[in-house]
Amino acid sequence: MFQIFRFFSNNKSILLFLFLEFVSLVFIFRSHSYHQSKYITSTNRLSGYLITKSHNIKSYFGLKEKNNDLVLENVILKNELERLKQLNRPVSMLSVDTIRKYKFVSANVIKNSYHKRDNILTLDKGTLDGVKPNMGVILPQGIVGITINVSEHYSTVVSILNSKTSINVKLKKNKHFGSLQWNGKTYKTAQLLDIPTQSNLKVGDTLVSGGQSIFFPEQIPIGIVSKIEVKNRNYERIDVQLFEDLSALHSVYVVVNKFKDEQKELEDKSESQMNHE
Amino acid sequence: MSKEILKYIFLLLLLPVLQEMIFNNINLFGYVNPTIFIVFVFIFPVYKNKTWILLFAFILGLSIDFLSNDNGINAFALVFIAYFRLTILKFIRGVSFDDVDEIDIKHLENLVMVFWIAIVTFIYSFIVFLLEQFNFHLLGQVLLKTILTSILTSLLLIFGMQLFNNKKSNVW
Repeated sequence: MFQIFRFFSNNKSILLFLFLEFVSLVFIFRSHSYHQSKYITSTNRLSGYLITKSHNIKSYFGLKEKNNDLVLENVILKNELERLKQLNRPVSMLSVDTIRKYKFVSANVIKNSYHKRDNILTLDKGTLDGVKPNMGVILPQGIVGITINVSEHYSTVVSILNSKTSINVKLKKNKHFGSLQWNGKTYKTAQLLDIPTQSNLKVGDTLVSGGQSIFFPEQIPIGIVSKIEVKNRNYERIDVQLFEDLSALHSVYVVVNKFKDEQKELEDKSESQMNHE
Repeated sequence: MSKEILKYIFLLLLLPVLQEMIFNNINLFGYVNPTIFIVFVFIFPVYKNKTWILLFAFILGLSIDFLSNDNGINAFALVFIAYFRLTILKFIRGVSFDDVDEIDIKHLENLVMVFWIAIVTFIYSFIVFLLEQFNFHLLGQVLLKTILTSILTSLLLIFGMQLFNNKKSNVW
């Protein structure tokens, strides 16, 4: 017994070293499964406070770009409004199911990240503003990611610049579906996978969000196909140039899908029924 | 000793704030940020056992992880260099292994100091980026990030510590 005690006291440093490294590794490995990345996040009050302060200082320097972005978005919305007026129908009647289905909550990105393999962002909105885990986060011209951890005032978002994200997209011209993932190289391009060869894909084709996802509305512009590598008549690699610059995120919209739970429940139910048979 | 420890506890609170408010916004070439908080490992005094520095390094690393959504990567790397900092120093100076505790890190020769900071910073950055990518296929990218980040960090640390060294009597 005494010898055990002496062994511990003689090797105190190395034992403590190994213990602390082990604890860190547990944190790191846990985070590598999607749903467990909730141990060390910036959604706690203290970190949230600090990065909000830091963001407030930074945001002064980006006011001009921010303004330009807003003007640009306004133009797009105005054009859309004009187009709808031309159709001579009341706006609210036209996309009635879309209006009912989705609600948008605006939020600021107080912590951006785009140079890691698995990027996670922090927003300044949380449960008090109606944000919950597993909600889509979008921009006028693109998709940012999906929320995972939400506290009262803050939430973290798994970026599309993350190895665990896969976004359902479709070709604007012929509605063929594929999924968008990121290979970790540059934040300007993502990779398109699982698209059928009969989709007749060409460089310059536009991709929009598909309607199969419960996180995002349909038809959000995402990017254009910038490079296609073909091998044995199959697509080897397809690069997609993203419309939005994910290195300069200011304001984003969180998508509240009112029917998400209903749709999810139905899908899960059907799946379990299929498995039973 | 307890008074000295208080000083480093203060530093423990200050460094994450400085890192987040200032040094994480440098974004050289779009993504290179100096990790100046590792200065802690270079200025923490040498004690007989490593308990204090290991615990402090772990807490500091975790605070950085909390701020940057990094899940323990910085804690791992910081504890690692905190444990091996003197081994590396001895390796650079070529001193025999038994005078570990007598190294006075406040009065190192300039050249030794520069090499020490550069090597430890390199190791730190390499561990962080490797764990972050979690993928050996992207080793080229990991090395590039490591080299750029550690050069920037080392330069800032060497420059900054030189500044502090001159006024050491009244600051520390």
